[in-house]
Amino acid sequence: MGELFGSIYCWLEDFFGIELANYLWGESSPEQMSNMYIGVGLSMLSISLLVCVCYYYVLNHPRLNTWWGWAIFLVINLVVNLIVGWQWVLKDYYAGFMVKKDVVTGKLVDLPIDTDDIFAFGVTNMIDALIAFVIFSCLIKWWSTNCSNTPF
Amino acid sequence: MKKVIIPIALCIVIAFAIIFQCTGGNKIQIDWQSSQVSDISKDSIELKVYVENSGSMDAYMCAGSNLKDAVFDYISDVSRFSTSCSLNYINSQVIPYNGDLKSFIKDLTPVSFAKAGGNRKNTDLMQILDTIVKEQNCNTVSIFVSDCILDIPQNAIDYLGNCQVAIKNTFNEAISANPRLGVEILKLDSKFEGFWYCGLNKEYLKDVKRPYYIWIIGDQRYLAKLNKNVPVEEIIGGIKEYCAYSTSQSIPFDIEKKSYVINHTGKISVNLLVDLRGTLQGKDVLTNISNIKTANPNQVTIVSVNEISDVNSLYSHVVELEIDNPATLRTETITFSYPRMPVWVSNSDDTTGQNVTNNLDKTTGLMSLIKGVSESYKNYEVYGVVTFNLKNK
Repeated sequence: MGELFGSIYCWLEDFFGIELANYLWGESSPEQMSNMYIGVGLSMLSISLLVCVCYYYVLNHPRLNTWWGWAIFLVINLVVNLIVGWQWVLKDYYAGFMVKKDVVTGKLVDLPIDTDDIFAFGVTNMIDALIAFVIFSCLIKWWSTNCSNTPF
Repeated sequence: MKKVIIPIALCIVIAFAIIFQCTGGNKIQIDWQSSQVSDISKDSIELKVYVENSGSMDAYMCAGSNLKDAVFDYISDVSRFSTSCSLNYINSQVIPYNGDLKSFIKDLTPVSFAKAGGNRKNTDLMQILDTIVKEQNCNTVSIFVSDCILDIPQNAIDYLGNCQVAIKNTFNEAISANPRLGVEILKLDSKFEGFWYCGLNKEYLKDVKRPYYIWIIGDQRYLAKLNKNVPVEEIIGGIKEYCAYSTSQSIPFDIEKKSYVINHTGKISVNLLVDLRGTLQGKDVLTNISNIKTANPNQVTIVSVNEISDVNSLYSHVVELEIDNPATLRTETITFSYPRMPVWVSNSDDTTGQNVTNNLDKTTGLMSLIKGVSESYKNYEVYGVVTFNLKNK
């Protein structure tokens, strides 16, 4: 599962940086040695599914059975996932986990990751959330009583 | 019904494509048999110091001699890591000095050299080195201080050749007795005031500097330990040149981490931690990447070699490797080999034994001495190898 999520996120590893990608794999820092893609990926899927379910089954309003109605929920999903992905990783940055042991000096040094890379990861999480939202929409819309015609 | 099936099928196909694309093959694991640094901390090191007291050394013992300062400085530091230290003059015979280091240095004068005795007229460096090497035990480190001038007779070419072979034989025997025998040769210079001798030639020199040499001979693990604690570069006044010889050994090494993610570049960066102190080579040689070869040059690149400054590290250097397309590589072997005859040796060599004023920085016959040592180590061109295996995770 971790490999799957990691590989999906790493389609855009150039965007958020190889160093951050390695950190999220748990391969760079002695302070963080677990695969963080699983947590971020599962939360992205859960949030996307939850927003989808809200749109098609909880609200399920006939007035929302338009492309813009669906788009509103898509944007909500994207914003939430942007914030979640960004803050999830930023928390580690401020906790000082993004370090590595320099083999030459034996001292802990900061990994070359900055806040822009972390925000870019949030954007990557948002892009993945977009794909997930479209897939979930196609899968579950059929049983919605009022919104089964959106997005197409 | 068509409206339902097509999007669902599309989603399933996309999901499978993603899973198929993403599963497996993006992680590499490296396995290796770690070789540990041998613990010699409890071994006793017996230090034997020999200062050549032939007539040609008198001129180095003038007032303000750099040689005395350098020898005093180095022996003082090195003796802290030895259990015993014997001080000797040497020419045709070994003449033990009964006194402490401070008085030994104070007694480095032409008068005390003459008083010590032995044959001071001619220097037979082949015999001197043979004597020193034969007095070695496994735990002995010998330090020999000399101007290393060969007394060249008329038929110099034959003589130099004979000298080279004799030195080679001496060290071949010594290596057979102790397969870990290492030799370090330091070139230094000192104020020189007095007669320069070579065979029948002599010339009075004043206000000049002349080279002299310190040979350090012993088990390479002990030499490595001494180099770590008392770097030769830090001898007071500095050293001018350096070369060293060691036999092939297994290289203690480790790898920074086991698991690697292959990113979109298809490359991984591997840090190899190695202990190269046993090679006895200087900093410049050890950090020169051309001395390190890879078995798969198309896939493995040596990016850099850096000295480890962490005092707690068991290793001396970190070698950064870049492995391209690691999923297709099964085994890699890194070979460490070092040059046997540095350029400075030929630049410091004089074969004439004449006209010293134009060759103040040169030493007659030096090349044949060092070449003799080099020849005895010619079977050890490769110092050692490091091997590790790669597998897909």
